[in-house]
Amino acid sequence: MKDKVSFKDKMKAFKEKITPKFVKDYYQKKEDEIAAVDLINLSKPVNDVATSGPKKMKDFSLWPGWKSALVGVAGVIFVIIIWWIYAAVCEAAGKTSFLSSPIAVCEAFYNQAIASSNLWTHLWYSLQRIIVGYLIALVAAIPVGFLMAWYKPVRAFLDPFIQFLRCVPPIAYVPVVVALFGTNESSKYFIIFLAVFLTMAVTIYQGVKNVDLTLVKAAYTFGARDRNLFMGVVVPSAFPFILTAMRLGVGAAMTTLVASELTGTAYGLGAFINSQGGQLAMDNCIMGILVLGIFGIVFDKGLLAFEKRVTRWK
Amino acid sequence: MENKGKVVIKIDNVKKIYPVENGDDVIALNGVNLEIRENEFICVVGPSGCGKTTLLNIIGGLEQPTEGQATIHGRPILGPGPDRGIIFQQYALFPWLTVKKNVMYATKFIKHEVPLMEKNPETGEMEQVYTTNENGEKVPAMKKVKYTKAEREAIARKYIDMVQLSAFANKYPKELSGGMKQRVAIARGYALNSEVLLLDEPFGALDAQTRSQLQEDLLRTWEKERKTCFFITHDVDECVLLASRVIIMSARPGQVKEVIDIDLPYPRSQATKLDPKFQEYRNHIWDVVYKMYVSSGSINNK
Ligand SMILES: Nc1ncnc2c1ncn2[C@@H]1O[C@H](COP(=O)(O)OP(=O)(O)O)[C@@H](O)[C@H]1O
Ligand SMILES: [Mg+2]
Repeated sequence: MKDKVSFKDKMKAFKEKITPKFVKDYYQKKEDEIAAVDLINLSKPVNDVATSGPKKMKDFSLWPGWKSALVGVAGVIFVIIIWWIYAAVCEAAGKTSFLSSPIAVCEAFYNQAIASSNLWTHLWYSLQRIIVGYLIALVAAIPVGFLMAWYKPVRAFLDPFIQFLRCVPPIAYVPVVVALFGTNESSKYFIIFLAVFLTMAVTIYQGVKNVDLTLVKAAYTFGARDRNLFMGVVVPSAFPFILTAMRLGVGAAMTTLVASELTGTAYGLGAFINSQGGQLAMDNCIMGILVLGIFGIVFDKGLLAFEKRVTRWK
Repeated sequence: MENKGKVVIKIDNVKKIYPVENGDDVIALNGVNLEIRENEFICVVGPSGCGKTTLLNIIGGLEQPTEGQATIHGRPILGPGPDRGIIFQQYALFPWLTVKKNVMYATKFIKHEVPLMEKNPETGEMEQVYTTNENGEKVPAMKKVKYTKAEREAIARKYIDMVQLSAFANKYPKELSGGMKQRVAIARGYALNSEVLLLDEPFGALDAQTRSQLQEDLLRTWEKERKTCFFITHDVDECVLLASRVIIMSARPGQVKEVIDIDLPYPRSQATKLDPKFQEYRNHIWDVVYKMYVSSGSINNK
């Protein structure tokens, strides 16, 4: 109680103190101080920046690729070791089903991929679905991306759908897709198609929108017509974006694969991961996840190499 | 000036207003009159924002005047075309094409005339076809064709040599310095072989040394071909060095303030700058431009 009162009093005193005159005097005092500085006889700054300056951040820009690769590999090994220790501790405590050890996962791989061909069957099913969904999406996204950038009405029409669908994870509309398409392959294609298409259409749209207008003007001054402009300027300008879209599309396809295989199937990597997880067969489940991820990395690196080759001018 | 050539481009009372959303519209040009004659090298100077680029874009057909009109040989300019090549300040090179392919792009769509030949049914040989002209005389018939790939390559090679970039013909623009990119842009502009060449501050972004070099290159080529040039700059020395006629523009609204014939003999070089007459022109133009800066408040504003 006592404190509160004294705080109030303090505030009151403070408010009374800050009169217009006080403010004016305050600034006047500052002005006077500045005016009183003797610029001519002001001593020069001491040049000790080089010795006492802030420590520079280490420059990694010249790091060779192999060093980065080494750090990457070391990181992976580190995580595997942690995983291994954790699994060993769990096993000692008698909780084996929570996280299989790396050894158990390797054994699972041996059983599924070498002793039998189960894994390859699943992979083959998934690969087919990814390729079909992906290719349909690519073929559709290129014209849609271009049309969205060139004709505002097209963009205005598609924008609400795209915005909406981008906010809904594919797994959420699995039941609706099953109701619409049934449990055959088309439902899987559709889910992958939708995710890939959205990603690609938006990226290609951005690319076409970013075409440098000066280049378009330049082409016109050389006598190019609208039809020459499309293949001659717009497509090559947007080409890097199309390639980026293709890579992002692979990411989208990989991340929706599992959702797409929730539409009733016993085959496919996603179905495998799901069913093994459901049966608490963690060794198979983790193995499936690893194969899925490595598969995605291989895809991505392949496209990246292709991209580097065809856009040397970038 | 002595022997005035025939008028190629005529700017007739041109006004250009840029509508501005929720604000005052910008009057970029107001009542501009200008004649560009054959074989002239016109330089336009003026403070930034006085509408130089706008004027060039109107001649180039990239913008339409709000009032008045621009004509080429009496025909209204309705859009861009290969009779008016433009060299942009931002180079505008196609990054996905090599230097050679960039220069070859200039000859991709244009046509030229070749003798019209036909197979003689009796001898089976190709023979020149003749036609009569408006005076009733028999003249060889011509037809318009595109350049062949070999012709386009030969043209590209010639102009790449001219700007001394032969060693870089197969490089991509990203591998070149700013000065080299600008030289490619110039080579491409020349390869188009347009009747008029429009240049928008082409050397504005370059260092002093590269700029002097390119000025000399441009002078050499112009002295040889006398191609009609419309050259924008904000560099007073540059405009006196290059121009046969200088147009000084004033800002707000953009108008032609003064037109000065530069009576210095070609061939010129950087040494021309030592000529007392050069100094006179330069000082005079500086005076006019500087006074404009002061009165517009660009220099002594608070
Ligand atoms: N597209 C545009 N929209 C609105 N204002 C513009 C546009 N282009 C140019 N302007 C204005 O018109 C005036 C002249 O511009 P510009 O021709 O580029 O001048 P300069 O090339 O002499 O610097 C400037 O005030 C500029 O801001
Ligand atoms: Mg300009």
